[in-house]
Amino acid sequence: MPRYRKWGRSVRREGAYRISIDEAGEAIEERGAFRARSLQDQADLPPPDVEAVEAMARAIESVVRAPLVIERMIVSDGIVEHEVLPVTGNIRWREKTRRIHLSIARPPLRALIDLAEFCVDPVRPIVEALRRAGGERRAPRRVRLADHVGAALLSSLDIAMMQSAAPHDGNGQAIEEQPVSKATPPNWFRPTYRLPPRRAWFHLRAASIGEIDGDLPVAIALLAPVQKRSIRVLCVEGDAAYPATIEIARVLGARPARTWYPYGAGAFGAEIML
Amino acid sequence: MTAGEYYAMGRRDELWVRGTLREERRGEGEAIVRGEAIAARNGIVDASRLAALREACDAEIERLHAAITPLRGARIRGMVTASTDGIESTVTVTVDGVSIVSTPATVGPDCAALRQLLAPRTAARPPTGPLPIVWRNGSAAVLLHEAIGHAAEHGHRSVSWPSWLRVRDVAGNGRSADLLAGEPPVAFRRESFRHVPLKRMTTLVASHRRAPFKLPAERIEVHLIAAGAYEPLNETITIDVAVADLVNGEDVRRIPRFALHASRSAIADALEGAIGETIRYPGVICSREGQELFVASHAPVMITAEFG
Repeated sequence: MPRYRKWGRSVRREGAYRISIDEAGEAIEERGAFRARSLQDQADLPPPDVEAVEAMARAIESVVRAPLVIERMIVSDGIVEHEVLPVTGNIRWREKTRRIHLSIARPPLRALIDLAEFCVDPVRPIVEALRRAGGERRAPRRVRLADHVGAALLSSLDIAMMQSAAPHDGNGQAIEEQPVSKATPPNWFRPTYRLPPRRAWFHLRAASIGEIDGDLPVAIALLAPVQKRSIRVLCVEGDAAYPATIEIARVLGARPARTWYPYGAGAFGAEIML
Repeated sequence: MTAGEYYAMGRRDELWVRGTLREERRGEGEAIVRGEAIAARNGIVDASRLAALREACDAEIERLHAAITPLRGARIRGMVTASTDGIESTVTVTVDGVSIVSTPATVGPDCAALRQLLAPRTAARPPTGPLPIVWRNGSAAVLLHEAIGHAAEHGHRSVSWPSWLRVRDVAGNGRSADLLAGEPPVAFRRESFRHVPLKRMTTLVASHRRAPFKLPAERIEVHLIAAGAYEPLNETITIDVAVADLVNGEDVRRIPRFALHASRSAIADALEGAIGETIRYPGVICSREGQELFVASHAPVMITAEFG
């Protein structure tokens, strides 16, 4: 198995704290055991964008007003250098990452938002809907999932989708565009050097299926992590907004979107009609 | 948190499955907290401090190895942390899908007790309605950890608990907090140098002063808990019970795993009594704000009326 090394510099706002981290580590598998250790050396990497992180955090704080509260906010910017040393030659590459994880509460409701770019626009409609949300309602007979909700659900749906191409997986190998199947995924996902890599399909992209009815109620945000057979969501129907639990039934339509979301080994947005 | 606080840690983390090492992690790091800014890095600049932390980790992991060597059939995760806060050493043992969290000093007897508890028993269907619950083996500490400890961490208002109940969080240097009175835990704790220090429980100790105790003939007896959760948005508690018996007089039958959901106030109302000294419960790994920490947990045998 290859020896994997990772150097990273990042900054994140977590609540009121700003945390800057310089980190390096390596992982190797030998004789059936996975071994990881931190490295004392630091990488020659450019500093993360502290100002962008702070500006994004302020932008989020400015749109979330009482009675809504930010229960949890993580905004991060980082740069990572990876190195994989196979038997012949080594592979080295860099990645820049931006992440936002938000939990916005209006008790007893909690909207969960995960983004991979610094843009407050996707947060605004969720905040607006949460602010006016009424009581629990039965799930609508048919519903349209907003593209970020669909992205969170994609890996648990049994619909046609593609793995999108990218230069490197967790072992430095190219990720080829190919249909996602029930077969063992060809690539390795390694979100941290501290855990063994696992096989995964990368950058899922739903195939277009049927027509999406734009007049249906829309599930605008997740109110809880995705479950095996259901999702708890905030629905918007006309002027009304309400929480509902939707059984994951047959997919009646799907339309891929361009935005990439940090779910699993990555998923592109997908408007889904259930 | 004082300005300019320095924190350094070393860690060894190993996963053993049936006597074979499957995963090993080792690392060191340090962090300086200045107000609301934390600068953290791998490695430790002060070579003598680095050597001391590594030496402490190595010595403790040897002690842990000696303790787990006889437990070859289980899945075991051992974690040693030597830091500027002291040394912490935990051993998580999983047998037949049921886990306990112990220490090198106690894992031998804890594992033997777990195997005894998991020995085949006559099975029963789940009870058709709620029954009183007797919380054995210190398991009431988990219920109170969720219902009282986390509520205190969140600064939630106190509810009316029985006058005989005492629940404290005990940290190092003799510091403690009266969780029942709503005092927050006294210690700032963090999972690693990468994390924000938060006021989190260290050791929850529940006790009683002349509590009533009357054992009903038909009851559920809880021995081990798989997981607990506190939902701060509506102040409800979920307890996933891993090992429990249905008891009716002399008849004792094992029941399947089940979950309890109730509000804090419903649990306070249902708490009927306690008996005996506090018992160390084998383990709580507490997750909050994405940080997992070991919280030692102690409680006497307690009884709750039907709820959930």
